[in-house]
Amino acid sequence: MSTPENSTGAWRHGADVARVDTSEAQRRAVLNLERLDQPAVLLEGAALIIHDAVDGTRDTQAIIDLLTLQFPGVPMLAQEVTETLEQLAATGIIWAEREAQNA
Amino acid sequence: MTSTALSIREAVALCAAWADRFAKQHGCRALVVKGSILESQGLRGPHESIDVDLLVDPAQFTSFAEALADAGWHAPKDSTDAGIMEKHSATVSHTHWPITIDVHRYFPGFLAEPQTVFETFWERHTTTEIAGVHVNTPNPASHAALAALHYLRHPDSGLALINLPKLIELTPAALGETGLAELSEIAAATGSATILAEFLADVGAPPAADAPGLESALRQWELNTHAGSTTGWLVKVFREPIRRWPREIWYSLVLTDEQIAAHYTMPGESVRSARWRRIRKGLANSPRALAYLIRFRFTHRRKRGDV
Repeated sequence: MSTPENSTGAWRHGADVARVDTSEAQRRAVLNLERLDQPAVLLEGAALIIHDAVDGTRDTQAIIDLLTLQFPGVPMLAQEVTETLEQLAATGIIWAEREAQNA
Repeated sequence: MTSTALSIREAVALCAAWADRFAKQHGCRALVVKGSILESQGLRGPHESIDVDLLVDPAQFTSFAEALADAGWHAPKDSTDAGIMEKHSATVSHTHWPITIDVHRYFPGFLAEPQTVFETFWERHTTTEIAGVHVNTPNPASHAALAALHYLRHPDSGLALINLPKLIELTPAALGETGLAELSEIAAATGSATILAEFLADVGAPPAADAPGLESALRQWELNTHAGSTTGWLVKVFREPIRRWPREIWYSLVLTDEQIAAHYTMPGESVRSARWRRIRKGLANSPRALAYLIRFRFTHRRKRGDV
């Protein structure tokens, strides 16, 4: 599994993920259909913003830079981004390019 | 990021995608039915479902139910309903999900063999997008027949009184001329032409006829659609030999503590209180249910020329 620490590649959304967006509640429920024994995951607040920042071109540092620009002065932002990407990657909801190259 | 507190709307959509994928992974032919699929196909207005309905290949029903159990989906306590008709579905729940899946081996009202009905559906099935993925579903013509039968099962219920007229209003535009002709073909192939005759006429579909030999099944359907729960209990009792009636009547009245607790207690109510409430209601309904049964049997004997 590629993690933010060992990945230098861009982050991508998992291709086989079901998702339900609830715009009025500003949240997203996602389910990795490649891992049916795993529960659905609810993304709200920072997790949703970080998930939205994943676009297939940005790596961890690029996402940190983008969100630092959008939310200047947020303490521990880099750490939160890194940890959240790690959690999302652990569920298979996102993956890093290096993972595909290693496969 | 959390894995709990999914709303019902979120859970229904994701769970439909889950169930479709789980069936595919296990090599089981299954169709997601009703719910938002009806809405997507233009057969119902906006609607919030509270569960996922899955129609499974009857030949694979048992193995699929076992696979679901292995994956942590279990049936809640057995229903206490005394069905006039054989159980057509199993409801299962899972600790990860706030909703249930109703796994159907067949749908009441399709009186042909369940396998024949499923093959009729499967050969023309389509896919519909839900939660951003495509799931296997009946095509609109099959789905219109299924929805109509679902509402006609309890024709005096609020569900039917609201949704059936809406279905009749929406079906012609949703199916078009070709789809309406297909609807009639499906009704004839699945043994639902007699039950759906009025619906077919109302939506402008060509008349259809059932194959012979469905008279008994049709009687069961008619009894079921007009029976209250007390009638169901009476039918169950009458099906037993007379020597077993006292035991059956006693059981029907009191049930077990577990059944009362699971199905009849209201919040804060004791099992004892719920049992007495149920008994009073059942006894109060009995004369009317008995009268209905006698009238039903007399009417059908007369139709057959027995009296």
